Amino acid sequence: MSADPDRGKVVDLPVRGPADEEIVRGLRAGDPRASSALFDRYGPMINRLVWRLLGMDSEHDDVVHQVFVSIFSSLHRIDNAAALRSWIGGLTINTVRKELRNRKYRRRLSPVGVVEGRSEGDEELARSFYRAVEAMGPDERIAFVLRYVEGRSLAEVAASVDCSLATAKRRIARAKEIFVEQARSDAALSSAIEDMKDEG
Amino acid sequence: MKDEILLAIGERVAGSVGTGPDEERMAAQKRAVEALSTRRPRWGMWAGVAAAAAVILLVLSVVLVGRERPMEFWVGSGLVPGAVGQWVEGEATLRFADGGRVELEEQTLVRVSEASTQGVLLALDHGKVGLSVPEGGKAVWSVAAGQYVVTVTGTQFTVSWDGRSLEVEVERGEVLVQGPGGEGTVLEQGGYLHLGARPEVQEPVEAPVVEEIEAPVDEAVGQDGDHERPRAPKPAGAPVPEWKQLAGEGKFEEAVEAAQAEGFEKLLESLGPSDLWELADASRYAKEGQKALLAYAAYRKRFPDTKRASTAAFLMGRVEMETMGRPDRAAGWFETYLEENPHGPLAEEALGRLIKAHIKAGNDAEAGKAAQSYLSSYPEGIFKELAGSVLAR
Repeated sequence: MSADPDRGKVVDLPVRGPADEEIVRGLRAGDPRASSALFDRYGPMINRLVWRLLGMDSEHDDVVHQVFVSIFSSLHRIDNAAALRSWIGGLTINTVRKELRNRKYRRRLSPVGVVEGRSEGDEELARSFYRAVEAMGPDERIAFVLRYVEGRSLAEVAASVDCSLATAKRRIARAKEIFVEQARSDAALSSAIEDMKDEG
Repeated sequence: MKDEILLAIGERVAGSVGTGPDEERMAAQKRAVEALSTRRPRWGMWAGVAAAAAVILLVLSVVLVGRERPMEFWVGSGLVPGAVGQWVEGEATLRFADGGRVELEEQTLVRVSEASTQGVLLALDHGKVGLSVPEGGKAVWSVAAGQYVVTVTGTQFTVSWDGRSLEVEVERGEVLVQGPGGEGTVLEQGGYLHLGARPEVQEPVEAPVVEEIEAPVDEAVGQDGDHERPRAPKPAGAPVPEWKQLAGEGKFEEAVEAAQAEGFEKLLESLGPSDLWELADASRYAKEGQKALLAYAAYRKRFPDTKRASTAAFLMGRVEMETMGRPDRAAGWFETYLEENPHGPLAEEALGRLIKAHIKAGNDAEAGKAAQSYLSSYPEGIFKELAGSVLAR
């Protein structure tokens, strides 16, 4: 490849805008205030995603920590600070996906509990729900939880996991088949489904 | 089951489990994150196979710790000192203190985001850069282009990015190309990779000779005219199958899922040679080892007299070794390639990988034989250190 070494020139690009940009800039400069701001702004979102995808798992804090490790190590990939939220969301989902894949050979139940004030029936349902999703592959589980627990639309699910709409539909359809199959032998799930049918 | 029922159950579960751990745990997480960010950054983490300068591994998370020092670099023949963070445009050469060199083609815009004794990170906004990275150096060099990252030690390669598609070509050594999901493809000496907007995905493995592209065949007649039942030609303007479109976009896992939904085994029996090869490659890139093996095996069975049939044997060896973790079977496939194509473009690499497979499988005697054979045929080859170390035991 030829190059004329005399023609290189240094140029300035316009600085991009808003508050997320300041966080990114601060993180790249190693400013500790930036990491606090990052956690304050996105920690709850990351925790919520991991919490609901894994089901109040005992390794929840480790997985959340791994997400932040990935954020710090991938800062160079952020070329649009305005998309920071969706980028972090995608990175979180990928981290959970890798964690689920690594668990493939050591399948176990998540120790699901519930927030204070909920009934025993709610606790049983939540436990049964996560027992059912354990039977799904990582991609199906993530799509299913995003769709039905997080309440995201099909298009939002596809965007969240960076796949086509058709792929998202396929994964959810497979997940539903597995869920229905699991529900047949689970009293709490069967009962909840019947209750919903009656109400409908 | 109706969506409304599942949504209602999901809502109840969401209310029950809440949105995260309690405040005390959140506070502990925050302290850990703050501690994480104040550690000094380090590039890494590399695990390399020692024998050849060309073998590298990349770990996804690159955290910089330790006592790295800034690395100086200069722009142009006037040796104008460069500064981290500034953009450089046009035809230009960047020279680094460790001997590394980056050449920018016309209408290229690149920024040196990081430059230290631990590593160099370039952000390629658009255009084409050629890198020459010193062998034996400790610095890890990376080029970030869009959602891709190309990382290397000790090699020579070019990266081109136009905002939609990535092209990487390796002249010497090996590079690792990672996509947005973190999945990677190792591209070896002589290899070429294209990802992104164009539908074709080039085979990156053949080295050092570029693989001869088989002439397009009329799929109604079949490969070489004598192995397949005639099939009705596709009508003009037939829609591209979803799996093929996804593969062309570099979304290999989704491509395999789509192929599975269409009937993977059915596709193995019905696809023409180019499409079958593309499906096999997509399965390999998606790390779907079993499917890749089935697809390459189907190719060998259905198109046995083609050049790619023996290439398929080589790639099955790689899948067995790298994805399935079965070095004994890998050795078998490398031997098959060498029997079928003893002077083929992949012969040297097959023999080198055969040595590795035997070592991994604990077959010391076989490793020794392969090492002797390698050194007699390729005394200055890239696996010479490995072969020498086997014979020295």
